[in-house]
Amino acid sequence: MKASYVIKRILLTILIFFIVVTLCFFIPRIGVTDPAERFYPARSAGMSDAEYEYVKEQIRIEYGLNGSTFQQYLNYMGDLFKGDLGNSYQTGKPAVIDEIAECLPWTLVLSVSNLLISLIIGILIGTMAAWKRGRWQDRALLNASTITTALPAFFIALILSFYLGFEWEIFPAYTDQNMVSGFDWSWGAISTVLYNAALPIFAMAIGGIVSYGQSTRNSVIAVSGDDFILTAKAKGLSNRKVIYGHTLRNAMLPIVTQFGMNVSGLIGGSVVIEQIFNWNGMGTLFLTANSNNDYPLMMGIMIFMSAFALVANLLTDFVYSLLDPRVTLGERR
Amino acid sequence: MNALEVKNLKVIFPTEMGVVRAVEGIDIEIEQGKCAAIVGESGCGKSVTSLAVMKLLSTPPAVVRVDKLVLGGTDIRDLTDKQMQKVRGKDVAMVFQDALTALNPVMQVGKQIDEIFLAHDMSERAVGENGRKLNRKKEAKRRTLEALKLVGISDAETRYKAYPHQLSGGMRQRVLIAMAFACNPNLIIADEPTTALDVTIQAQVLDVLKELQKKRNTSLMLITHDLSIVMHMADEIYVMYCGKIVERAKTRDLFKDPLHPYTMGLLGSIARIDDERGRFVQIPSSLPSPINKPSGCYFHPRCQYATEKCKEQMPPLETPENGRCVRCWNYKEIKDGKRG
Amino acid sequence: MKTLKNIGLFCKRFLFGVGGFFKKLWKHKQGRVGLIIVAFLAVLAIFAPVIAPYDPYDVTQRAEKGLTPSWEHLLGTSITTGQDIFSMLIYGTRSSLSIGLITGIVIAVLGSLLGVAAGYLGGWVDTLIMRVVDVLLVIPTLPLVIVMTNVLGTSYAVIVLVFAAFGWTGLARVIRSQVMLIKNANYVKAAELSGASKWYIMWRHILPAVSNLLIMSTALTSAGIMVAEAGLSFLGLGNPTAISWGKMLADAQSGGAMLFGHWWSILAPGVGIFLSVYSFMRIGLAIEEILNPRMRKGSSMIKVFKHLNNTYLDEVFSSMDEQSKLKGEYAGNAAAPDTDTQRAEGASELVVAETVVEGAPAEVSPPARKSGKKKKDAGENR
Repeated sequence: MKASYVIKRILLTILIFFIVVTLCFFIPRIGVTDPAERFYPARSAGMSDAEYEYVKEQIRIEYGLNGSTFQQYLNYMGDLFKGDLGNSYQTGKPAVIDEIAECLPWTLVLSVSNLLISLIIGILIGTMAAWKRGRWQDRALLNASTITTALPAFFIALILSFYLGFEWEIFPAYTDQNMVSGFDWSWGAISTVLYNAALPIFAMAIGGIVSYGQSTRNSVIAVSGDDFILTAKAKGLSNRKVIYGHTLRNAMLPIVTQFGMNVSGLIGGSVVIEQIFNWNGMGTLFLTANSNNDYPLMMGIMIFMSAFALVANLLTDFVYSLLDPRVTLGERR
Repeated sequence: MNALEVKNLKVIFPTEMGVVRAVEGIDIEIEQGKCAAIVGESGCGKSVTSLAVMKLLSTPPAVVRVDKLVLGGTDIRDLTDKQMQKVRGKDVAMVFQDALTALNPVMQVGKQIDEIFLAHDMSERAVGENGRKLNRKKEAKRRTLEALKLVGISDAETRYKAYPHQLSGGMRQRVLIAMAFACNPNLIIADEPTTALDVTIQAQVLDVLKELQKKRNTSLMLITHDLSIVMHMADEIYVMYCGKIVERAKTRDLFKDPLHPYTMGLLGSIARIDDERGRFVQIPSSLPSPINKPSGCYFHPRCQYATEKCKEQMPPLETPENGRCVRCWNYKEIKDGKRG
Repeated sequence: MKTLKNIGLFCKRFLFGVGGFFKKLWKHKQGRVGLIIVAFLAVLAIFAPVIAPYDPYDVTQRAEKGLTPSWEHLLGTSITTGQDIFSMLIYGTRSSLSIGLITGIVIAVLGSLLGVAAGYLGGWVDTLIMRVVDVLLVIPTLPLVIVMTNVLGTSYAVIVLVFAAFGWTGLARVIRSQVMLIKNANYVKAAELSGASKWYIMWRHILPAVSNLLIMSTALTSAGIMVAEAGLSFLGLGNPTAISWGKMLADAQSGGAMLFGHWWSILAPGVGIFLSVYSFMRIGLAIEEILNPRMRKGSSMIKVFKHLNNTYLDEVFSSMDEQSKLKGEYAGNAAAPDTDTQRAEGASELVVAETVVEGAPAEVSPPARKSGKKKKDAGENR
């Protein structure tokens, strides 16, 4: 890993981030002449034009919508540089960054556990299917993968919530809102969270497990046909050593790529599921912001998600170049 | 004592399209310290033979039957996979064709040689009470460096840490050879060891192989389609066609006086400096499908001397003189015809 | 005039190619399943007004809300509006299929043009396109689509455009890398050296070479878009006037289908989504398998081995012995009679498979390095 590659890659990431922020700033302004218009109070009787204009200007300043669009853009970028994503339209006071900070952990509870469960169980199942290639275990995985990819996660979620939540009442179908306000890191609170998170995590993880399983299976089979596996066997290594030292080591490379991609979509990936289970995460926050036309909040969330994805991609590339000596950073495509 | 004795080895691959008869009952004997070459076109079953000897063919898809498989005095025919692991790498080792794919791309080459020492020579040796694992690894590395130097890799310390893609083709092949000779096996099977290399590098690598073989008194089973390599390396040659041995002879005899028309064809396609022929002799058309082999002698569709008998009956492996075998109905007539 | 003729030629070749493709697809078992389901859904979509017992768009034809299934209303009626669910299910095929297919095709055109341009032209064009791809891959898609529909409205055209605008990146990347491989192939270099223009090479050599890949990815992206569209309309962000499966699910959920135990109102649209997505995926995967025959095998090997028994193997092995040959009994005669016919059929299949891969006339002779290949298979099929 050469230093110049690393620097180039990081600079590129910063450039992309800059473009993303610019896009997020301008897209909501397409076709809007005065974004502050909807906040203006009705003109009270006897108010002169100048007075009304003054009132409007005060409101524009309050929401950071004064000056030309370009001026606003510069202001926004300046604030962003200081770590300030502006204020939410809806609530006025709480800064966007605070709202995100409040919702982020709840989304992470869902998506991180989903990702870990999918990864671990998926790799185990996939390795087994590769081992039993062509037998029923393998075919079951193949069928499961075509079926679950064709079933949207939100439909699985609805079915789970219908049966496990409403009919059999095993898990809560709606999140208990006290869970969020009364959370105090006690064991009781943590177990309540896990109990409430069970259905959403399960709904997301079914697809994830099968997808990791299928790619692990394909990758293991591809690698075990490689010549160097034959070399390893010809050296007289034990089966265990051949599998762990050679087959899995190489078969995990594409899995790392897939994992990196999933990590970069960690925050934005559970929008619909959160909606179904009434889970107070980033997705719900975004949908609420959308229905309120709360642009600063929407922009802030998107910028935050993009930044997260960029950092995740960067880290994946670093990790990958450490795992595969053939690849220098920034060359993986 | 023979380093390798194979009697009646048969390998088939049942597939959707029919049964592929890869190897149809061949016998091989290699004396200790000698080099035997198996020569034939691509697809004639050479590589399958070598893998079958190592018992590395996965079953399924392969089905293997053999009457006798003796390696340096030990019968390995009925050994389980677990028992074979102790034999592979220690008593018999293999040099593969393409070193780039035969080496693990994400592992330092030195570490890959270490593995073989750790698996065999040092699996039982106790090295001190504490830090035993560390010492074992150190010892393995020391021996790996030695092995690398032995195959003519200078600067072994740096090469030890290199990954396969960072080495040149010749260097990689040397690493494979070092790996094969690591535990001083009785027999080394080299499957097209130099096909992937440039001609100049080919010669260097072959020299290393031959030198080590002589020095260690190792037996070598050389598998190749290139008769020009065989000339300098082998003591005895088996010519294989469609899964059968068609001719077996000492190298000198075979080059001087080939008996089977197929061998003549192979020899005819070698270019020599003192060549006075205007054209090379070719073997017309290509190898028949291993699923639908021709009737009678498998070579008859491509043989210019073929008679009616050849189309109907497979000739037996005859022994015209001591240490020679040939599978042809008309070899005497062909020989006479050539002289006359 | 000349370009017009070229375009005409290309279209003709394209149509012939597509025809041949459907033929191959029909021969592939899984592909046939996909084709049949798609055809079935297409019939439902086109003849929806004829097939559906009620017109869900017609306010006067609404019944009581939340009826349970009966002969009058096969799947009951919607809890929120009282529309006949069975009719809605049939009408829902229209939005799902049309958005999926149209977006899939737009993405195929966009992705292939940009991918070919990036891969073949290289230089600043490549850099520009790949940077755009980088940016689009980073922005979370669903939130971005939500913002776009918020700004631009939720008509069909907007939904198609927005999905297409953000969905082409993956295809463009795949095509780009494929084109870069072909670009370095000798036949393209030969064409370049003999003075063919860049456009000519793109048109005549590169596009045809990636066209199979294109059909495959169109099927797969269409499937993906159908899921995304269902998700969008489930969130209430799709076209509010159209009937779509996602919206039916949302209505069922918000109307309390869960509480009342109306499982059919959840299951019906779900099955619709599943069938449409599944069929497109089946087609896509079948094409993938036709393109790389190496991907299948395996399971069929096991089947082969199930048919083998020791007596048959003994026969094969003993047929190789010296004595039997001396008697003139050739090995081939020893095969069981039924396997003989199997073998003949199998051989013709092999030919088909090879033409697909190589695009060259098939030969019965084994491919070069047969032994090496076998070795590989041996490793794989364990």
